[in-house]
Amino acid sequence: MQDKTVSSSKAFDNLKKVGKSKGFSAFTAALLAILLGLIFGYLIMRIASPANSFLGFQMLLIGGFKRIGDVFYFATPILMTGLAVGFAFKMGLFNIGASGQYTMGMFFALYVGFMWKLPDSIHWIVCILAGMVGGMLWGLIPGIFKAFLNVNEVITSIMFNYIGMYLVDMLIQGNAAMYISSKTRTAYLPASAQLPTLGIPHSSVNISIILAITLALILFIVLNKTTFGYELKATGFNKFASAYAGMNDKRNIILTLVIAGAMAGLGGAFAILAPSTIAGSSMTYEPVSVIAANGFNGIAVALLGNSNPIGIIFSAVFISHIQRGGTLASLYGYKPEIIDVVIAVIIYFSAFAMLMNSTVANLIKKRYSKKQSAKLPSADSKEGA
Amino acid sequence: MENYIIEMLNITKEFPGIIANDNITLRLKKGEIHALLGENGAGKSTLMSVLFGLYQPEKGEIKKNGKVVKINNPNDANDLGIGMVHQHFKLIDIFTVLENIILGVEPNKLGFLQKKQAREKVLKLSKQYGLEVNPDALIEKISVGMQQRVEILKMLYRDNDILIFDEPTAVLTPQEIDELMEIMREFAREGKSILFITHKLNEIMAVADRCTVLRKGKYIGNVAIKDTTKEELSRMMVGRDVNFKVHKKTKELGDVVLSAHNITVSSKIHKNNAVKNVSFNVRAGEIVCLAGIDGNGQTELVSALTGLEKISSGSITLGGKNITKANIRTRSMSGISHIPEDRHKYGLVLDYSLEKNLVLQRYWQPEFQTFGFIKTKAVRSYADRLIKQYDVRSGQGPITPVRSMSGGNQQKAILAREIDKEHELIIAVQPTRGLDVGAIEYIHKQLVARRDAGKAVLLVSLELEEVMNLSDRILVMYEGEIVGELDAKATTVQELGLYMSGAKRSITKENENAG
Repeated sequence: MQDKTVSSSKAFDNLKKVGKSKGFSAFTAALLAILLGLIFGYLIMRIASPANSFLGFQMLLIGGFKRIGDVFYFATPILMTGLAVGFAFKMGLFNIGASGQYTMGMFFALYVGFMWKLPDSIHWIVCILAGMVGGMLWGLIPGIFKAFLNVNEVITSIMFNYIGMYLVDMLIQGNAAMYISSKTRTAYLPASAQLPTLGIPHSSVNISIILAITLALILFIVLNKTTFGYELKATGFNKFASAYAGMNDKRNIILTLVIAGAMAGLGGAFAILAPSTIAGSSMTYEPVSVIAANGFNGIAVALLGNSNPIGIIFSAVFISHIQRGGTLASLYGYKPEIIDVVIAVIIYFSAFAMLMNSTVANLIKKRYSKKQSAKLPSADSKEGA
Repeated sequence: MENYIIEMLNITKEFPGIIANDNITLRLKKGEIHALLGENGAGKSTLMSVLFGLYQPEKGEIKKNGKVVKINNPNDANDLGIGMVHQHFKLIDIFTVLENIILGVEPNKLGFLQKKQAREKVLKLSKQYGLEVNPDALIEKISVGMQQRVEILKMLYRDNDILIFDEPTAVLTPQEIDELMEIMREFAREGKSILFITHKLNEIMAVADRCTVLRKGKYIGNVAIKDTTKEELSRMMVGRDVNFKVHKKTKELGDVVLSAHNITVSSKIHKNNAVKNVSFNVRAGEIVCLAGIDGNGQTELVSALTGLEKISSGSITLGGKNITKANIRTRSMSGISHIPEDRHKYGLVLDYSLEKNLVLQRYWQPEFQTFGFIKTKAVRSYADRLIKQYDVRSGQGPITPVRSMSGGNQQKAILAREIDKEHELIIAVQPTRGLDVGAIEYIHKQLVARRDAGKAVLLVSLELEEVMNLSDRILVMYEGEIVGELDAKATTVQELGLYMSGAKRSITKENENAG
């Protein structure tokens, strides 16, 4: 009887080990989710234009590899907004205001780029820092509202998306040095304000992707190794227990949203300060009263990356990859709108399936561990009877 | 052949990962009061849910009057005459007593309610059994004891003759318990059969005819009460001898540790004040118990003392230092350890590992962090020490997710954390709620050990036995006021009950004196 219990528990141990490793289950869940998203995306392409669907879909999948520089270039801003959403989410805050923070960051970076005369070597660095400050400001205000007046951060940050966007559009249109009204765009930034390129031909990929990945790693360390991260996650898991333990939730809420805002603001700065592939030009901003899509894409990135900074790096690159492939897939006669729909379907299906999957994975894990504890006594009773 | 009205034969009910009922047989005679005894998690509630049609058993059958019956849902149970008073009442707060009683079996004509005949029937039943209620009172306005009467009337209204009472005395004062016992006896005399679920031995000895004991989902035995003793029943329930009496040495009282002056706390739920002008002291080396029925301001008072809630007036001093305005962490560092009422909501971060929970009050101290970085090794070795010292059992040691631990071990973890932290005062709120006898014994011993070590202990408890056993001094709260201060050695459960129900008070209202 002894032997029997031991062997059966061993078999379950192995199953449990696999189920138990958290990273494993999160990773498989993400892969499964992406697969489901791809299948669904393919079905839509199939419906839209059956003849080209296979080649088109193939391009969607592998097209990104042909534009590896662009994949990373476009991944940078959504990686930053993804961090902005995911980091706040760890504390149980839904930072839907990443768009506004992104726009403010972009404006601050532009302003310093145009209006401040600084030595070439530090101009772009100051621009980046200004962008960070802009984002922080737009994270600080909802943070203060939440901490001191208990106003839901979702409501304030949605409003601040609009306030930020209209404010920035107004300020840019009113500034002759920054805005060229005949083109309805901002002027070209001086070269000193643009970020150093990584030198991949025909691509704007630049140093900011390295900065972004570094920041993700730093946030990972902050979350997992520091007392601040400990408090932040404790508050996210159980705000009553964190209050009971005497954590300063007001300070933590504000600090979290300020950090989140800083990330989104940096995203905006990175996007607008990127070097252009055409000499003598630069990225420009068109004030047309549209909320920055990169902010909302950050939500999908964070969701797919399970709010884990490392996961967010991969999910940002993946989403950027699909978007590049999608652009190329239009070569097979797909209208850009259809491609956008397919991409959106893949991203959101992946993200939602991911959410479902991790719930399912948790359930399975619980079942296994419970089954094991239940199996032993029942084996005993059989022996007894 | 005995005359059984209900037989549950060889019932087995499994849940994913656990066998809640393993081959359990229970036979209920007509006209008897049959107790079902077992610790928390022994499978009592599951068995009753099977009888009430809430769960379907995997194996076994249910017979009524010798005939096999199938109970698929509570309506089937009701048709067979089975009624149940749940531990947590199933009443609609904003409905009247009458509306709650007829809920589900509303008498109607073409869809229009016919309340008149219902009212007559309810009044007749209430008179017949001495279950006084006002049919038009709203549930939210009446006392818990009254709400229980409504639940009982619900069963009677449906002409049930097999009545299940699930832990009915948990919310009652001793006087109300006596009344309930009398009502149960009256039912039995009339030929109704009663199943009485409880883990309180005194009540079983007082009222039951026979008793079926369950332990860890298994059937242990069935005994006639007149042939057994309390000790034997507890041995059957727990599986070993249990020491009911807590041994305490007499202890010299030390200085005043905590003193509260005229504390008033406004209630979050209602408009009125939850704690009204309360003053008391706790001295080193004594266990002071705040007794009272649930919801008489104890929770709010503790929140005020620990800093979770602001007080609207009054002052709090700890060891001579005024902490009225201090925040939670300052109070904690000044020497308040707090074992919270709801361990899942306040005491633990369930998604954190055991080791992270063990440093929940101390992670920021230099011992556990440098420059904001947590010293993983220091945390681990500290956790290892506490786990060993306080015998906290878990699947994977310090890295076990606390969510997966048993309630008793979760509570031990909190206890370890709060006792190991430097403290002068321990505020323990219902520290043994929902725990099995072994864990209760352990926690009682630890609290007494704190007292003997010269610390002050403020215990909030709803369990009268715990109050009588542990405390040196008892403060009784009723409707937000302290209405009595009793010496634990000199008082009786009955006297305590009179204070708890508001029938007696030895401390008069200050405002009345003033006015």
